[in-house]
Amino acid sequence: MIFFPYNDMFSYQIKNSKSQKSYFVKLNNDRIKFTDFPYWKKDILEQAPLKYTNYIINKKQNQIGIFLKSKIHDSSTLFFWQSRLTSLQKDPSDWLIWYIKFSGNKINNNDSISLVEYNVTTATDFPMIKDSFTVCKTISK
Amino acid sequence: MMESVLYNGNNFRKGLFSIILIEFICFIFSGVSFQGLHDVAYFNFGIDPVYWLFFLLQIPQFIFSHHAMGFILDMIILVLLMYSVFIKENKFITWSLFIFLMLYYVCLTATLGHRNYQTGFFLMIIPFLFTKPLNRKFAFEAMRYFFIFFYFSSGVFKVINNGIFEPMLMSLTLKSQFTPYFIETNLSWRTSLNLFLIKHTYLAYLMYCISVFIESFFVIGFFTKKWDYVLGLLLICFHFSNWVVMDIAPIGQLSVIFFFLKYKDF
Repeated sequence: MIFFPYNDMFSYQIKNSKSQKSYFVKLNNDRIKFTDFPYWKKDILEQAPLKYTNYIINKKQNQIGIFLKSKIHDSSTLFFWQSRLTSLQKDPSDWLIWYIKFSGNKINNNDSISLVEYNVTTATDFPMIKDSFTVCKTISK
Repeated sequence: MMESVLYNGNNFRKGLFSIILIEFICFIFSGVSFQGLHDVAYFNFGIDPVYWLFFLLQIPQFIFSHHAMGFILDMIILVLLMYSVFIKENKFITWSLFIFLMLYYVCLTATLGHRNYQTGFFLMIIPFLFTKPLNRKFAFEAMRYFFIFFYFSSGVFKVINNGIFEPMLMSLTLKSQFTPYFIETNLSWRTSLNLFLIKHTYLAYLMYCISVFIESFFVIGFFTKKWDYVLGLLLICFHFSNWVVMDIAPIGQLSVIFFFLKYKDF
């Protein structure tokens, strides 16, 4: 809650010390770089793909969506709440195009945009990519 | 005596609003102000009635979908902040600023997808919503205890969640935090510093312990105000080292540092 002074960041032991996941958006197969941006923009460009991937993998459900479903059983009431508190009606291509524009890149017709999850090994001193998979993809029109 | 109190109070207010003004300019230049957040296609926030209120009224959605609205709101906030700094205090303007900046925090963190804890830039306005000196004094006291608890509890969490008992934690956190930097082959000094700390696990662990000590030290604020200036200096060390090492800039929390440094004078 905004008005509760609670912050437990960096207090938990890391469960998996051997591998990590990282998320990037690709424009025509080139990763969109973000680590040189000022703090807040970098944070959004880094965190938003992770949150959006979770949303896609969980069949367009996030914490609020699950909470609302568990509490509201009437379908029209549920739709009213979901349409206001979640991004229910948005398509993955909307998000991909927003991300590219937010990162300051231009989109041309027939550009390929994809959200990619990377599995990274951290067992070595220098984290290295093990494999990757495409979470969602679109071609701009 | 009375004139001196009023003079200090006025300077304190001007100082605090100046810091918030600087922070808001940083948001604009970072490209994440209202104007920068247009066309957001996915937002995510927790079970929090404050977020729900704004989103049920469809205010953030309206701002996201109207580029001009974002620009207008940015300009309104800038003008109101400048009025508060350079001209005089006004109750209506202070209330407007509080609501607009809270709305901005809601929009920003909903786009980010998780709650960022840097809330100082709008919470520090709350005491100025009260015009009676005694009420304002109580509000400042409440705000002081809020942030003392915020930092102290953060230190306590690092103990009760066993983070402090895991010497590898800081190195692993840095690896996790900096994975995108490595993937991007970002060769900045910060990446080099992190590689150094990842390799020197116990140095990284020492830094973690120092940060837990700084946060836990805030417990002293519950008993006395004599150390507030020291708490302010410790906050500068804490946030500055977070910025250098973890790339977490304290934009949004600078007013809290100013508050601890200057509140006693007020």
